Amino acid sequence: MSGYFKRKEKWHKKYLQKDATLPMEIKVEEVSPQMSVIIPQGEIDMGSSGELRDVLHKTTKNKVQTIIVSLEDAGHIDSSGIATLIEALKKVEAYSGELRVVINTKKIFNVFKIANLDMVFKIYESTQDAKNA
Amino acid sequence: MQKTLNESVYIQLSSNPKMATFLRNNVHKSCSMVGFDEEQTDMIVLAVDEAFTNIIRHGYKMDFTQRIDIRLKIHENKYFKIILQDNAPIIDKNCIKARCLDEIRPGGLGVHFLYTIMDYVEYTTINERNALIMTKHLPKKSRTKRLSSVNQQLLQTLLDIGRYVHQILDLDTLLNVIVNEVKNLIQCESVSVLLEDRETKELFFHTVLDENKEVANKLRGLRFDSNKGFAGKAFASGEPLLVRDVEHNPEHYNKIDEDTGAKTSSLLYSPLKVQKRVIGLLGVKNKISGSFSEQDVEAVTAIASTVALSIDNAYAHETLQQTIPDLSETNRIRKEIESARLMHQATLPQALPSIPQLDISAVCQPATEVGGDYYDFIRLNENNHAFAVGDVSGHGLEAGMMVSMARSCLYTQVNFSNSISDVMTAMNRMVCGSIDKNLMMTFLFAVFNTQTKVMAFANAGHPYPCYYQAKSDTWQLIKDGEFPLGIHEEFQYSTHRIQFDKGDFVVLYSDGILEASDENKEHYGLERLLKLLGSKKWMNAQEIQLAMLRDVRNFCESLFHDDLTILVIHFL
Repeated sequence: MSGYFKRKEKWHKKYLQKDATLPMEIKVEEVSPQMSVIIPQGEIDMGSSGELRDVLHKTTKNKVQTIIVSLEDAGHIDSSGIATLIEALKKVEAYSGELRVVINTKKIFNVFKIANLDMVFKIYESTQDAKNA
Repeated sequence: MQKTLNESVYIQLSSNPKMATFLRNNVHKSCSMVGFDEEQTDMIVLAVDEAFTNIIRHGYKMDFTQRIDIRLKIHENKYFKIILQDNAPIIDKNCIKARCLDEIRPGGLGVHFLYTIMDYVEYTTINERNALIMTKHLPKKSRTKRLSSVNQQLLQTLLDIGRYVHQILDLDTLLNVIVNEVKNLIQCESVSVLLEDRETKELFFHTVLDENKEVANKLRGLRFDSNKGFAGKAFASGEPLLVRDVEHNPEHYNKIDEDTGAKTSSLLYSPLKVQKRVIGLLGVKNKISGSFSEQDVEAVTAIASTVALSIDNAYAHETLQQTIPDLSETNRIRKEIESARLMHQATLPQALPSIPQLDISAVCQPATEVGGDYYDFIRLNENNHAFAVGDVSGHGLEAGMMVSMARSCLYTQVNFSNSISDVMTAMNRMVCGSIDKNLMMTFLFAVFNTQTKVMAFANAGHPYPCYYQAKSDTWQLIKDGEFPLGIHEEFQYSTHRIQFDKGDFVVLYSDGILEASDENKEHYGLERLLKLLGSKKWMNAQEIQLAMLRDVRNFCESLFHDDLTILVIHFL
């Protein structure tokens, strides 16, 4: 049995080090104490939306006035991702803050659209637009 | 036999959110191939993704070790149907509701997506399992203009590969099967999988299939700097690279050709990407007739993404094994069974032997639990090679243990016995002496002499081997044999002999093949097997093995459960 395990172990040590099944990377840019830009990298689905939730939770807890979630680098978003954003939106609105979402692909926009949320979120085409708004 | 698109596609996945990426990729490819535009495709992918994660969350309550079956099919040339089945407790369909959209809150969104995106959604039960049937009208243009034959072939290959990914756990075996499929599809001289060694910044040939076996052997494991030649260029850019006239191109890194005696006239590389990182390349070389087309580039790129995913998948499976928390006794037992299963896997040969004059292909896929199937190759001396195939009655740990015992008994016996019947006698006594008196084992032991081309064998109750005689161009059963081991302690098994010739085939298999059954509980059976074998001229052993797997799988559809062994020997 050692052959089986050894080979596998060697295998992933060598070619697929820890970052291979990446927990989703999320870039956070603190523009000012009143404004944060959150940029999830990769696909937001059931497996990764928890991490986005954690980051958003931290930001809303600090009551950051303007939170920008940029989905420019997100290839995919599903209902769990959307739900995470709704949750954050409610928290932000509770302290009269603002949540802005940056969407630059039709694919992602359509997901918001079929959820009937395209009018609920403030959507911008680029992070710069969202910052200047 | 023409490769036709059986317009139904079947994917089996574990209920792990990590599998969602793989599923999305495959559904995406299928949708765009049947003619949905990009926007519709994205939406259907989203719907399937939601359905999949809903089953994990609500059906299996986040148990990541269960199974989900997904079938995609074209119905009446008008509808595209996606059926997801799971083994979770039967659901009350009245409980499934889309949320009211006037209220802005998370939750219930996934179901709303399904209903909005698909034309019909139905929750039902099929064979006492939950089934979610989602239907979407096919786009009009695709109804009249069906898939081109090239696309159809590519789609079938992709889907076949998709299935293998979940049926073959061993990565090396899997990659070998994939390169074979690529070679058949693209019709080229050589296919290889190159991977990066991140420590030394080198690329090396992990899996190679080449018309010239000598070249393939030399290439396997060969390393070079990851910035050299066209491979380096494709690796650095992360984009597919097609070079039609390699020889006259100054960028060609010809050291590899010089070292291996290969000749490269045209080549095509496609990067293997896990997320955004390039981990290696899928390369094809020297198109057999004409030159590589844009369609080839598209095909290789599509397959490359599946290959990368399968590598990632192998890793996900690995980490999953390590991270299942010991929540309960059941989990602990499940984990132990899993180790026993891996142990059983490890008793099987890790690689096929290379024996002059024989071309061999084998697969042994135990069921989800520990299997009782066994096969082995043992080199006796230069001219004599032994093959063993066996099947212990029942499954579970006892069967698994019996397999291990049989294996060690066999290894001892081949060193000390003078004849096949001695080996059989000893094996029979061992099984008779086992603690569980009801345990039996079918066992076929054969010794092939490469000089005389005679195969001497004894068969203790194993399903009759199928034998193809090239001279008479006929398939027949070798019906010599007696009853299984473990029934009569003093029984003397007799030895039979067959003289082989160039071009002959022998197919050994477990009763898992014959007993595989479809939805109507009908068995696959010997008749279908012989019909399949007689349906065409086979070129090599692997071709037969894959065709058998495919045929049984198509026959059983969602009831297919992997519990089978196939060993094909081709006399060269």
